Amino acid sequence: MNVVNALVQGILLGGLFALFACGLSLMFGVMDVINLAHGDVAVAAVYLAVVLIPASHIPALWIFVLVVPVFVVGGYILQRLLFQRSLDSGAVTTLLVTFGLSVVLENGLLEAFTANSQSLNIGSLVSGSFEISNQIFVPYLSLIILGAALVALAALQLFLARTRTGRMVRAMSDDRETAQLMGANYRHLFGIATGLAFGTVALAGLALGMYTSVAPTTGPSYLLYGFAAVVIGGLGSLWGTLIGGIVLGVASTLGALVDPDFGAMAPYLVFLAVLAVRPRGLFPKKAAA
Amino acid sequence: MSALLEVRGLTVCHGQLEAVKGVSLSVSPGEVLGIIGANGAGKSTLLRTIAGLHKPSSGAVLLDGVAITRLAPEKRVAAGIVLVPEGRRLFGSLNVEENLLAGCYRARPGPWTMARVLAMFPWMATRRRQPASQLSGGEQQAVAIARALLANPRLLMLDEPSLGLAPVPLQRIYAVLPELVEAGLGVLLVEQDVRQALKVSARVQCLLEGRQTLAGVPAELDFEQIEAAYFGMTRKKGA
Repeated sequence: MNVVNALVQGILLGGLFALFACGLSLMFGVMDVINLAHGDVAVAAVYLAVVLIPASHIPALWIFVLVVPVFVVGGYILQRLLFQRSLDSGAVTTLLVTFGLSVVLENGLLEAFTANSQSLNIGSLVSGSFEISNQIFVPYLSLIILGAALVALAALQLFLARTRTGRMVRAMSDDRETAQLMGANYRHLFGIATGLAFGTVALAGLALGMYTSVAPTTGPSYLLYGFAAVVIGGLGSLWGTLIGGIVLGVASTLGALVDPDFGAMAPYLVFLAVLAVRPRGLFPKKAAA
Repeated sequence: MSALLEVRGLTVCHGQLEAVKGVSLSVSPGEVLGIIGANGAGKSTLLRTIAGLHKPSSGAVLLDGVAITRLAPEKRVAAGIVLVPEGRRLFGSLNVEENLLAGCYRARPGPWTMARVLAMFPWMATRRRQPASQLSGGEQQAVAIARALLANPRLLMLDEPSLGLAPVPLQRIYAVLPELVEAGLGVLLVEQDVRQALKVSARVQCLLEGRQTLAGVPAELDFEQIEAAYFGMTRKKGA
């Protein structure tokens, strides 16, 4: 029964990982950009919420209505002003620029908010849960986060599959030059992709801030989980990222059954194992192209 | 007839190499201009520069007499210039229909609709869900041309449409050309297959090492003239 409970909790946790990772997956899939500041962007979203909640009187659970649009727009602007310039001068430059952004965000947050950790207060919801059987409890918050992850991934998938702009984003990730020959302004489309990536990671950050507490320097540790989820699922594949997140989540909770410390290590063992057996991840996207 | 596209003294460099040297040409609506020349003669570079993918080091590209030499490639599509690139370059992870829809992305208003394109290539309708990467070479070329037509170009540039095609699919591709010309499209055709180019073009120009070596009406050119211009085997007159 413990194992079943661990599986359930692992899947729920996987939702958070997937939500966190899908922006990484999108940016890599579309632009071949590995955003090392991804974790810090999530943390920055929490701090923005910490400022906005008292100012706007919006409850913490709904603050995403303000925070997510700010990050979508911010992502677009950052792509146009910062990432695009580095993209034009090579992949390594982009890596360095996002690393620089990570350092700047961390230190900016330290400067403005000190090293104290913060969390988003959602009242009794944080500990509320319902019972499936006498040993399996499903926390409401985890379920909400998994739901949000599914909605975000489905929305992204629909956007990419069904809309004119989304189709062109995919075309561009196949062949940027030919997409230009069809009239695509790749800078604009890259901006949209980054905006969406930042929007989803802001949502993930808010979920994280409700689930646990974050400090200005916790971003990179979550970035690692994000990377692992993206790589396990297969680079650039959104549903693969969801599976990757769930695999990580389950590995973490099952590992914790063996030994609480092992829970933190198990996901990385799985990560290594997948890399050893299937270096392109479970659902590689680019193999088909 | 006034020129739709005019290129004046275009020179394009790839690093130190001058790929195109002072080439001029013009294409009128409803006219096919064929550019022939050996591998590396600068034909593709010429087309890609007209499409905006390369910046010329000197010279000008004019559409309806307006200079567009510095215009971004995606804006030239809206102005009516569309290139079918060498090697088809379909979007491999998109299916046939999505590839065609990509052509509609910045389409100008005009006669080419999805219905008309599907009437021209009926097989595309039944295979629209198939990934573009699974099509044969001839089918891919047809999709690439259909995709370009859906943008409703005024000038259609075809870069080596015959490349890697067997004779029958090749004839199928060229069979659509008269309908395009009749619709008033200007066509700039780059073709290594000289016979094919001479057959469909109103005028041809030959490039050799980036320079124009011959221009004329196919019926008035004899084989030796073309051979000399193509391979540069006769003594070069001071160019």
